[in-house]
Amino acid sequence: MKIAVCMKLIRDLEQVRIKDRKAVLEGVPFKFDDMSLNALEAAVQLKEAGGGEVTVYSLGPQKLKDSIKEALARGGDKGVVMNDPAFKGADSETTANVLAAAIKADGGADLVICGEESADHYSGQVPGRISESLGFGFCSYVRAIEVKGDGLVLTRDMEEALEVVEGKRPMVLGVTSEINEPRLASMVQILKAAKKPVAFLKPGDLDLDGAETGAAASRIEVESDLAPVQDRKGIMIEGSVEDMAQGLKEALQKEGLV
Amino acid sequence: MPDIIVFSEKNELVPELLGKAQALKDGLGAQAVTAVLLGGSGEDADSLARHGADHVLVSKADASSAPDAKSKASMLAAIAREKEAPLVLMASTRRGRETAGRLAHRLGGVCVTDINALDAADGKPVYERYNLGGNTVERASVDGPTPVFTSMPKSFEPAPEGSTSGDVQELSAEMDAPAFAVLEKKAKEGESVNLEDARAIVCVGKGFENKDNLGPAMELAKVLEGEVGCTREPATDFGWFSEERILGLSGKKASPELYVGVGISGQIQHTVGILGAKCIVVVNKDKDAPFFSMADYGVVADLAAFLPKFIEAMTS
Repeated sequence: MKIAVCMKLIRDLEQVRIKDRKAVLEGVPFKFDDMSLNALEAAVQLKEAGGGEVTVYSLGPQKLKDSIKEALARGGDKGVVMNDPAFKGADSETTANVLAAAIKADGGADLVICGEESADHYSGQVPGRISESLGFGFCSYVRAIEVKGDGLVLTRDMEEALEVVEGKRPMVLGVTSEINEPRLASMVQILKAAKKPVAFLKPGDLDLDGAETGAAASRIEVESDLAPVQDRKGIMIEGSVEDMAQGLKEALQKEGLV
Repeated sequence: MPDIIVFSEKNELVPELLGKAQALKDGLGAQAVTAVLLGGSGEDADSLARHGADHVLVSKADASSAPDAKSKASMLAAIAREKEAPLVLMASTRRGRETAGRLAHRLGGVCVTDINALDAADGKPVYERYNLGGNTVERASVDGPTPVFTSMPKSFEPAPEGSTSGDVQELSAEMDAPAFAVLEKKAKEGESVNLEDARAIVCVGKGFENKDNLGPAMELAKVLEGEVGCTREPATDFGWFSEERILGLSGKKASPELYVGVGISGQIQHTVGILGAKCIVVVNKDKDAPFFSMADYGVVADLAAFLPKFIEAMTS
């Protein structure tokens, strides 16, 4: 099977700090987000079980030049990177179009696997957009994949229940973190990764109908992106443990909550 | 026409979407609000017609023949185009989020998921949503063809009963064939807990050093007629709760009337799950715990000593 994995390199949100209500991203290290790693692991497991090739696609910052090797060390066979400055600031629509165009330029895929959402924007829309752009079926919140003939049996996690579904390939899948434990790269794999092929594509290399690829293409105009001002009461209940127990009860009664 | 299009497979969530859509009509130059129903009964349609829908379009196909994003996105795109919709509004359920991106791509416009506010300014939609995992609130306006939004539950006021007397029409939806068929539905292992609808939540954090202290937390939840939730560690690391009870970034989101966080420091990974709570009470023995800065009421106390006393006060 020809498997495409779309991975996202994000700032490590655990290390983001707020200064004057603004998020400070400069200097925060990049990493592949967790569900991108789950997606890669799922692809590699399918390849190991049934044969095929895993290609990693990623649109993102300059740092991808180095980080892509990590993906190849964890089992990807080759990489396709879009980290040209012309892609900087690409919104979800552009990102999906670029990834889909890169997959098509590479001869397509039987299966495209992504994390169901990314761990920086938590938007969850790009995998669905990729599926529409490619004209493939789409199934998200997948926590188990079974290949069956020319199709797939998938277990997906809906809020109220698990659904087991069956459909034909090609498909785009969004996977959850429950699907697997991503393997760590061994020393041998890390060394081998350096020799695996990586292509760096520019907008001109892709069939994008002349569409803009960077921030200018976005139709979202951000008015503000600030840490919220705390408008909570901030009342500390004082006294002995008994006093505080009574004090809290009275406060909640006054609020009409108990 | 133009009609704002509203859709969710979960009927209970539609009145709040309709309430918001009605409020946006004038600002977006829309003439009507149209709710789309996939299957469902005549009663379901009539209910929506009274709860904010000027028109209800009932698709002959039901949820089982349109289980995937492709079929639903194709149906909604066809309706949105026909009705020249200034926007499509859905609920941020998993199915809603799964369909939204695909629908927006088909319509050639913007998609914003998990919004918690939506207004109109200069004829354009303006939304708010938590960004960067809850660290900031992004406020932005949207341009271009029919944007698609999904909204967090309880973000909007539901349209009151009788606010509209809409008409119900049958819709012969032009739908793409679904990409898959549902073979079976399985109950999830562990319990099914409804934190989203709980009036009160007592939340257990890492501060509960051992299992013995849990009893009072459970009892307090009963006294408050609420549910017990937790941060990540008590479930995944300590194994005290099923993952269904985790509130936070990668867990559940809830907006209870009363939230009591006990032994929780207040990191954003958890607090983003309960930012919408009406009243936040924090109990922690560390007076410098960050959580106190977003509390309505704070109690600096050892939870093992405080909880039994508080239960006593509440039940006397």
